[in-house]
This record gives sequence, structure tokens and C-alpha cells, in this order.
Amino acid sequence: MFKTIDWHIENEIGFIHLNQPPANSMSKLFFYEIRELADTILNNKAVRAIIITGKGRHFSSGADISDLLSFDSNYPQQAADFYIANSQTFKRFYTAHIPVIAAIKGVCIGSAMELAMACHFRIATENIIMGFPEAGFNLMPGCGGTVYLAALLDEKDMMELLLTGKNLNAPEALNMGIVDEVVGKNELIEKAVTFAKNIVNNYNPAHREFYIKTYLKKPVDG
Amino acid sequence: MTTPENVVFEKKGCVAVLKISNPPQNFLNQPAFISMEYLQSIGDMDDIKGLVISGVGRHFSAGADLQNLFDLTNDSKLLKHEMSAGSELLEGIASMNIPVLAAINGVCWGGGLEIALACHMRFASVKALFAFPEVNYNLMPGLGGIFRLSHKTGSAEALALVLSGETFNAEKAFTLNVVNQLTEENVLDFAVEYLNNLVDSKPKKVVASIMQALHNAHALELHEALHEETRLFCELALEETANRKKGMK
Repeated sequence: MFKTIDWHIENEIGFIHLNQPPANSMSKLFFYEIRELADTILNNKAVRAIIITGKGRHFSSGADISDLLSFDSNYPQQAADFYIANSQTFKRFYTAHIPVIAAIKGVCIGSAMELAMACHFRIATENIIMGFPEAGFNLMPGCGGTVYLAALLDEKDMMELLLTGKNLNAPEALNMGIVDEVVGKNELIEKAVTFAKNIVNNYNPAHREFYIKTYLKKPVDG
Repeated sequence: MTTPENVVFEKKGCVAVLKISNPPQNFLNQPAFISMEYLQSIGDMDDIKGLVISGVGRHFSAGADLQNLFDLTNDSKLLKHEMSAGSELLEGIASMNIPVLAAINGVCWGGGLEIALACHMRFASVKALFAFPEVNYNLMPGLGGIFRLSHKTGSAEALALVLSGETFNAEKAFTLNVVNQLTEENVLDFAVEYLNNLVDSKPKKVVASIMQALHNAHALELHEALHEETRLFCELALEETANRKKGMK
């Protein structure tokens, strides 16, 4: 049992619900719990796909800025170790041999966007807000956000996102290639599950574009 | 550091503007059009958080001065030395810790296009013209241009452009992802304003850290890139936490 995360396995899919209402912010406790859950769920041979989402209206508002700005200067190495461990936890999802899908709704900013970018696929509803506001606090992403973003975007889009901290809505995120498909609010999980089922057999991360085109995009008429 | 004769330097807000200056076509007299030390001195200026590279007058640059280049071939050692210096300089531009934007008007050919491709972004006037014409002289781009071009266009298009030496217009450059943005306005003013808006409100250290993370993401292995990112983040967080504490006293 975790305090900040709900999870269960259903039809071979592991569901991870960030659960810290109202906006599922990522407290220190969350980072410890997701670390433990990553171990449990990725070592469970019965799990063939993972869907990560948030309880309620939002995916997550990311790490608490007050936590980030209370960096313990008396023990800089301990503080650094905490962030390195967090980054490694997200990397475990990124390097997983089973598909990991982010089902995004509402707010998904900062470290929450880093977690979403560490997933292999991103399905979003029409009401999302995504962005990296770190630079506005004289910070930058520290959990892999820049690295995962670089695999998808050109330098201009990356610099704009990271330096201005601007927010993206669903069409902008789709257009930029940050989310792979936008779906209706009530069909988010259903679409993510259908997509997961379609790609679990012989899953190969190198076929990302093929999976998206074949199983996720709405067929274009004509 | 004194400004070399073949460039014009000025500051506009927190952005530096460096213009290649050998009018009218801004031919490049040597592969390294400025020294690495001079480039670094711009990056090290405390009040400068972005760099725009452009050309004096109507053109960006028509590329190498062929007579100079053929003269160089008489001394193979010197040729090799100068080409290496040119290559290193462009690598230096690509790995700068402030954003570097090429503002392109008129012709942008050969070595000029190599410089533009080494920048982090390219904005062009709708009237700009691009080419790698080296093949017409039984030569090829030699400063990393083929590699950088194919990264943006894919290898098929890059091969077609380099083997044909074809001149292509701004519209095509945009379609092929060679250029990030087209404008009908004065491209230099447009680029300077864009870059100022991008970095103006951010401390230089934040800009530099983010730029370093972007370079690492492409240059390092996943594990190392992640580790370096967290390290850069921690440095900023440590400093910002200390600053806020000071502010509260």
C-alpha cells in the first residue's frame, strides 16, 4: 500500500494512478514510493504493459517547488543522491522492455512532464496543459526531461520549451510530437488499454512510429 | 579581445550580433572565419546570453573564396591544418552554451551554409538562396555540413542536394527542415528580437546549464546524459536555495 499512488494489475496491464489530490503533486514521499513500485511492477512477469495516469482531473502538477528550493546545502551529496535516484526511477520506465503509456489529462508540468516523457507513448485528452516551468524559478528539469525531449524535438522547439517555460495545449503538444494522439476525455483509459493490447506481442521500442500510425492515430478519410 | 577585420560585432540587448564581412558576397577567406578564442570570448561575455550570426549587406555568405582554397592546395599540410581549424570552429559554434541563431538573407552557399548548419537554429528571409555547390568544382563540403544536413533532411535529400549542387530557395529549405522559420521582415531584426525574448529574463547560468543539457542529450550515452542533467540541476538548485535564504535575511 502506498500513500501517494494507487496501483493494480488487470488483464496483464499494470495501472499506476498518481494519487495526491487535488493535483497529484510529487512530494518526496511520492518519489520514494514510485521507486519501490517501479521495482515491484517491472519485476512482475505477469505485467505486459504499464499505463501511468492521475486520479481525478489531472495527471500531476510535478514536484513541489518549495521542496526543490529547500536544497540542503549542509548535505549537498545526500540531496544530489535523492535526485539521481529519482532520475533512475524514471529511466527504468524508459528502458522497460514492455510498453509504458502515459494517459495524460489536465495539468502535466515539470517533473510530471518528465515522467510522461520517460514513457514510450503519450495519449492525451483535449484539456491538457504541459510544460517545463523550471527556468522561471532559475532551475531546469533534473529527472531526464531534457534527455527524453531531445529524442523527439529539434533544438528550436526544445529551447523555447525549456527557456521560456511556456505551456502547451493539446493541439500544440500534438503538433510538436510531444503527445502521440489526442482523444476525448471519457475515452482516455479505454484508448490506452486498447492500444496497449495491440502492441504487447513482440513489443519492440524501435517500432514506435509504426505502432502509433497503425494502432493509435484516427484513420484519415479518403 | 579585438574584433577581427572580416567580421562586424555589435551588442543588441543581451544578444551579440556577428556579421561575416567581405562584401558584397561575404566570401570566406579561410575555413575558420574567426578564431576559436574569439568565439569563446563572445560566449564568455557576462552580459551576452545569445548569438546571432549573419552577413554584412544583402548576403549571408557565398562560401569559400575558391582562389584562396586552390592556393591552399599547394601546401597539403597547411590545407589540412586550416580545414581542421574550420571544422573545430563549427563544432565550437554547435556546442556553445548560449543559443546561436543564423539569420540568413541573400545567398548562403557552401562554407556559408556549413556555418549556418552549425548554429542551433536558422531563420531565413523568404528571398534567401541555399546550395552546396562544391560538386561543381569536383569538391565536397568539408566542415561537417553533409553530416549536419542529413541530420535535418534525412540522408536521401541530403545526398540529392550535395550531389547535384542544386540551388534551392527558402521555401524548400523550410520544407526540408534546413530552416526553422521564414520571415518577410528584415531577418536580422526578427532574429535579434526572437533571441532577446528567449533569454532576456533568465540568468546566464540557467541558460548555460540548459544548453549544456541539450548538448549532452545528443553527445552522451543515456546513463551519462541523465547523470549530468541531474548534476546541472543540483548546482542550480543549490545556488537558488542559497540566494533565497540570503534574500530572507
